[in-house]
Amino acid sequence: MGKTIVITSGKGGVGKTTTTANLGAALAMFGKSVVVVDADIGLRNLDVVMGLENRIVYNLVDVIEGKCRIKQALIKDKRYEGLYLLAAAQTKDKDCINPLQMKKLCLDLQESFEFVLVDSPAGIENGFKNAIAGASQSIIVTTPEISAVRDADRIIGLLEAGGLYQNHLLINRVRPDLIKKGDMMDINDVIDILSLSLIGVVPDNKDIVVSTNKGEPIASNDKSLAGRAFKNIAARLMGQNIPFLDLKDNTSVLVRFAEAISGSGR
Amino acid sequence: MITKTKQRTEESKEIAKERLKNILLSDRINVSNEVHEMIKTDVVDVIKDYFDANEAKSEVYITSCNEDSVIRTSLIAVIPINKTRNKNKND
Repeated sequence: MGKTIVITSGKGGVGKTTTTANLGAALAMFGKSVVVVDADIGLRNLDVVMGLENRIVYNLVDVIEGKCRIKQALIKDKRYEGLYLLAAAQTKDKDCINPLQMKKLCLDLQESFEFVLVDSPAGIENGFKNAIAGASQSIIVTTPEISAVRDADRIIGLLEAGGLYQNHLLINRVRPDLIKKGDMMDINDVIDILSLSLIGVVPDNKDIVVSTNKGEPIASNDKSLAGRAFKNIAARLMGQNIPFLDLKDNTSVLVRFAEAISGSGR
Repeated sequence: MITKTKQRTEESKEIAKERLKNILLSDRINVSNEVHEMIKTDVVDVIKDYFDANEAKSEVYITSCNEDSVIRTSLIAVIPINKTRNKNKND
């Protein structure tokens, strides 16, 4: 019996879908069985970020409406053993399913998968309520910006009101250069304000843009600091105690240099 | 001049933190109607010990206002008083 974790944020564009895709890939790389579920009905994107958009036959709404069996709708990611995608419907809207149906779907998926990761839509309406319905834990994605942190605070309140108390904070798009100059709130500032347990920090990194362009999760790229950050978060989800990465620029250069040397022997 | 530039840039994160704290304070204080009614009843009850307060016309607001570019959140109670009670005389 697995567990369902919802990836949510309130604000749009902070990296929920990228996080879901990468945590799914990273968990699969660690040998876990994972299904990533796109709960953003009407605006599906997880398939595109994962590079699986051409393989969708059935979607989440088809499963809920009984048009197909769950297994028929699951798309196997051939690059990662144990990773599957359940895509959102693109032509329906958020109100065509309800939280009870979603809860049942998550329970069904938990029987075959160790991790069910639900990518929540932005906002606090029905789509959000559906996304959190089957979850026992959440990852709240935010960036060190006022608007994103404010929305994260609101989401924490709504999750707790919905009975979800195992909530973790993921701070995305961190820019060490701006933090150093005092032009961006640092990790501790955000944690202090939200008083939530931190599960990971991901640097703002061009590698992510490139990997999204290609539809290849960055988690498989050990040379990328962002990729390693996602892998560490996946390990923490598995209960491992991994220290947080030092995101400072010079460190990343050194690490890359060291890795380039060690990689040259292959 | 270097110090001046440094001070200016250091401020931007501090400004963000300060603004965010104020925003969250007013966000979090948005209490439910039920709690709002309870606050009102309790406040009016306290005032009733001293004045003949008109409970039906009483109102309690939670508002934020900008004071020297700092947002201050306050609770404002408007409690009409019908007549003052002279407690000493009654005692």
